[in-house]
Amino acid sequence: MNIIQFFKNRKKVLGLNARRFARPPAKKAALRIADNKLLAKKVLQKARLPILETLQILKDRQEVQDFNYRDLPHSFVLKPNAGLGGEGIVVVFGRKKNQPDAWVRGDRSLVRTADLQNHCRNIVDGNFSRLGTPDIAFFEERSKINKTLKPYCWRGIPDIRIIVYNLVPIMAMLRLPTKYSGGRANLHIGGIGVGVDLGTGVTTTANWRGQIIEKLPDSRLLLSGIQIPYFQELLHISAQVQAVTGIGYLGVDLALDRDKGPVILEINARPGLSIQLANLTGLAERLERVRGLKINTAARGIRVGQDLFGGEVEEELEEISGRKVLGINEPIKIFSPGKDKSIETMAKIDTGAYRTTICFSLVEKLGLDKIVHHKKVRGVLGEEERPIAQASFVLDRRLVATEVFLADRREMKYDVIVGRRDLKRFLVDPAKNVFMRHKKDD
Amino acid sequence: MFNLSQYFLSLGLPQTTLLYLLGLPVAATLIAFARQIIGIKGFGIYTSLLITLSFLVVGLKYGLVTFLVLIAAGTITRVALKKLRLSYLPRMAIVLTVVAMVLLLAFFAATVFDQTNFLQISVLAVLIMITLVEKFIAAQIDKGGKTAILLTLETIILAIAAYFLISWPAFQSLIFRFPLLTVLISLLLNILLGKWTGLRLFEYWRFRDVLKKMS
Repeated sequence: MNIIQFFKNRKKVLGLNARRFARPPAKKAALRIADNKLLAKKVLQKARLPILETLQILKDRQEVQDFNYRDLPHSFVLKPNAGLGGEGIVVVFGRKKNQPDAWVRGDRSLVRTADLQNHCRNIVDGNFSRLGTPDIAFFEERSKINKTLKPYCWRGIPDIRIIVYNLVPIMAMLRLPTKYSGGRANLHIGGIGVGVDLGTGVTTTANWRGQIIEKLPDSRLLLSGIQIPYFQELLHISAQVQAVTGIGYLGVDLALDRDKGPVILEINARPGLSIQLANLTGLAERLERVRGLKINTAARGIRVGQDLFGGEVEEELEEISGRKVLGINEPIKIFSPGKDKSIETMAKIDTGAYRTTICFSLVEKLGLDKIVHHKKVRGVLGEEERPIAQASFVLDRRLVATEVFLADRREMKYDVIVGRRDLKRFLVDPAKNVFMRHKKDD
Repeated sequence: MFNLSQYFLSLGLPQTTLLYLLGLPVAATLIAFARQIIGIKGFGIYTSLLITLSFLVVGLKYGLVTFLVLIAAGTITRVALKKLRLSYLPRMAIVLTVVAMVLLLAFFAATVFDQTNFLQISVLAVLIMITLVEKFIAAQIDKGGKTAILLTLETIILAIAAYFLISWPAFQSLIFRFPLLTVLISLLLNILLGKWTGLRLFEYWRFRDVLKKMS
């Protein structure tokens, strides 16, 4: 480890001291939305953003006393309106069989109507509110778990936290509830934070209780490489939330409901800093890169965020394997034997072919006509003898010197096919598709 | 040269009063420093300073023991009351009642073991300690046992540090000789601390993996 680099990096990481300054001065009204869940839901619903349904609101002790708790459905969530950091939230998963006044929580403990009433009374008294002031208790539908993420969760509901700044999503994290967190996804009580690549919505690195982990605890499931469903939509919603609420630096918590798709769980004006541990990347650096950019629409913000901060999966893979990742088509630069001339074009990366093939049209231009030998090949059109010449080219900034087939490819889309003989120093990702910039020149 | 502390002492202000009044800003600065630079949170400036004050009045030995006994008594009462499902304020009132009774018991025990010095302990300091138990119990309820223990430890460490600073003879003579200067310096320090945006010492540890990994 480079100790100088370690201390140089301190400016890239966002600490508690700097977080206060991360948020541009927002209007008081905007911040009130973040501290008031019901108000937030109202504002979001008005903007037609997806939220969970509120089942019942209890405003004071009288209402807490009078409410018939038996009317509640089999599963629900009880929340304090002004609660902070997931405190005071009760989640029940189902009713106890044959008992209309008992529900089961994530850790299998029972909650009875008397417990609910008592908890509501505590909420209304303000024991979970930020300043200890009287609060409102409300019941909400419980979001149902999405199938893709279910194997990774212990009972609770996973959520996706996206940090948005200046309409640009700058970092995302998947939070998984574990046995150790009692089925809750909050990191400080034992949930797992999994970093998410903004470009693709695929998970990267994971952190649990301050330690880097690769696999789900007590299992062999890899935590990297999970594709988060509806990721683009999640990004879109989170940027919209910022546009609607006017909070300049914001954490949006979203769930993927089995039936409804993405829903907003909560919005947070002071999102935690652990997202940096999950992604192994600093927020301060990303904030710096987005600060001052003029962004007018959420769609533009998402594009900027994905362009600036996406693609870490690939870089990381390249770092681990020491090999470059190629797509199915890549720009290539082919040299003449004397290296005095070169031609740039697009090549098709074809792991089905052994040897690289270059079209006669290029051979003429470059003077690659010194044939080394011939080889018989069997193709769809039967047996054919092809000439082989020496050639060198640059693919993704790497020089490859090799022997190539010469063939007539004038009718084909690509002048060059790169075969596996020359792909040993690369990895191929079929999902990576480089946009054709150079038209094939005839 | 005119000396502010000499002047107030000549007016008949007790020396300890002056020491506490001048020491308080410095102790507060120390706590701010611990939060902003080191990353020790505790229960904030109010609780830590009050504990420091009670330690100064009662003495560190008696102060610490009393305080830990009170917190233990409060915790046991809280756990015992859990089953009753009471609302917060009445529950806390019961906790404080038990804590006050435990203290009475401690006075009784002190006479039995001939520790009569303990009876002379300042009533105000003891009352402060009893009410502070609420903070600690509330943390147990809100944040869970582990965090509460950590915060309690941090607060007590901060209070002890501030206690040693204020009862340090060199510090006392400094403060009496240059009262305005020390207050001014602590003001200045706090402005710097308030503007400081760097990582806290503990955050270097917390984010070590990120700091190692980034290039």
